Amino acid sequence: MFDLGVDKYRDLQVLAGCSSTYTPSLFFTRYCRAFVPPYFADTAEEISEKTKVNFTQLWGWECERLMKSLAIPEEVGDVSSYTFQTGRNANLPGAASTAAEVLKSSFLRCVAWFYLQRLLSKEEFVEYSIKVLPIDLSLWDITTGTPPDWWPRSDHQPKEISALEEWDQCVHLPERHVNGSRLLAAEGAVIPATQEIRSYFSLLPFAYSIRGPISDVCTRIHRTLKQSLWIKYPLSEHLITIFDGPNLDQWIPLYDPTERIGGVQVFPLIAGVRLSHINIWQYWRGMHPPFFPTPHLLIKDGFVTHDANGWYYEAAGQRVFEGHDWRIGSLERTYHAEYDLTGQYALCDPEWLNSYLEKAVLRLAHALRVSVKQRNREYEDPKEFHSCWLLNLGAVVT
Amino acid sequence: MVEADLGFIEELMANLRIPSVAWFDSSHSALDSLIARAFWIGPLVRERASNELAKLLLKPETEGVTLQALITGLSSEKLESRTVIWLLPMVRARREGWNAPIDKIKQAVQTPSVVSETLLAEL
Repeated sequence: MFDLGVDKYRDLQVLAGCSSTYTPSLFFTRYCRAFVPPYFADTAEEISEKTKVNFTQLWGWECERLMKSLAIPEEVGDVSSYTFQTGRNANLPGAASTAAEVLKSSFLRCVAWFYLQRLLSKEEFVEYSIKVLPIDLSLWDITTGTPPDWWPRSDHQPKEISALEEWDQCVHLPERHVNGSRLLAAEGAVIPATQEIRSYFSLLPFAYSIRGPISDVCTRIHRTLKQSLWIKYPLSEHLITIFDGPNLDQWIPLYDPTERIGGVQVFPLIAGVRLSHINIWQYWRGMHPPFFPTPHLLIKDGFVTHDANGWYYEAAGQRVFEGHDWRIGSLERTYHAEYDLTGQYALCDPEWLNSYLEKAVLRLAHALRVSVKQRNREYEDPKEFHSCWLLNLGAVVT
Repeated sequence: MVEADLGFIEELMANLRIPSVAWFDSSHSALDSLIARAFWIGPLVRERASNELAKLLLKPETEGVTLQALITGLSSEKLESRTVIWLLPMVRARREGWNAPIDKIKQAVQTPSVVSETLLAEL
């Protein structure tokens, strides 16, 4: 582990000057959630509650002190054009003004101060601080490509929602093979043809055995699979380069390896890799954590790697898993009425997948969730609909 | 007709003073503009600018002046979060094979944090 460098922070002792009666300025109170991601204000509250020392008060005090010392006026100014357009207008995710930099820097300094006061552990100090980093260095190497030819697309014919072409396209995705690899998982926006209807889908695989009668469990299974996450231990080496590999020993799976849901014993096969920081320079990769195999599929001596086209899991001299993502446009602005035009997918070696299923005596199924936003006029707020299916779930009771 | 239009517009302008545009006689270079983009309000602009600064570090003909500009900025930076932004092009270039002057970069950091230390460890 690198030197934590807490002794190197500039003038950290000045934080001792915050009076217990200090009240954060109206500017801080009003904008500490608007100028920076809500993570910072949420974490400040969480730390305050946990330590019984008012972190938010200290953060506000240090923020005000830095603003004054750098002669930055407490005003919104042009920033409002970028960050305060709610509703139908476009928003600029991750917009960072000078005031936002002060908020982040003062947050960093308060976390270091709390660590110095032994109010936070070393892991918490690193975990909270590293969120300020705007990009993962390994993900920076990987190009977000264009959507593959087979990605679900809307057609131009106006239809009822129940008759949209994308439903059928999504349902048949688990049968797809790409250059000899099997499509294991996919999620993202359906490529739209009209302004009126926008769709998004999430297709996640799982291994299963049937333990009893199957009730209506699709949404619960999909939620469980979606919540399956990997994180990297905060004090691990190369914390900010998730796919540099090769070590997976400092990756922590944040989910149950198996769970019985309404008669179905579910074994997640894909988990999202939650980054240590807020990947604001490529925010779509933070909002949709990159797919990676769960420990069920990992093989001894397997390792993670990446190149300019994707991220991979290699074992026994073979690339058995590959992840890729795509986007259309810059994604600089997000629109309330639309899903961001981005997606990701995972391909795998069919033999590698089958060998696990055979060995564990399990079968493969997918949970598919499709969401649709519909509006008849450009200025209308969209109505949103969701549907969920379990694909290839056999009814064999074992 | 055109003359009448212009005259009418002039009347509407009254004593309006149009702010001067400093771009034309500014002594700032294209590199200064690129660095300004690295601190732009939009994160995607920041990322593209940082990536281009890394590319300039990798080219022998632009390495010296780019490094000097980044070191100068880094050494006068008063905010920890912006220090991270100054360091990112250098770390990016290092991953592409740039021979980073690590001691010089470390000495230039005036507002260190655990985040900048993490980045320096990647150099």
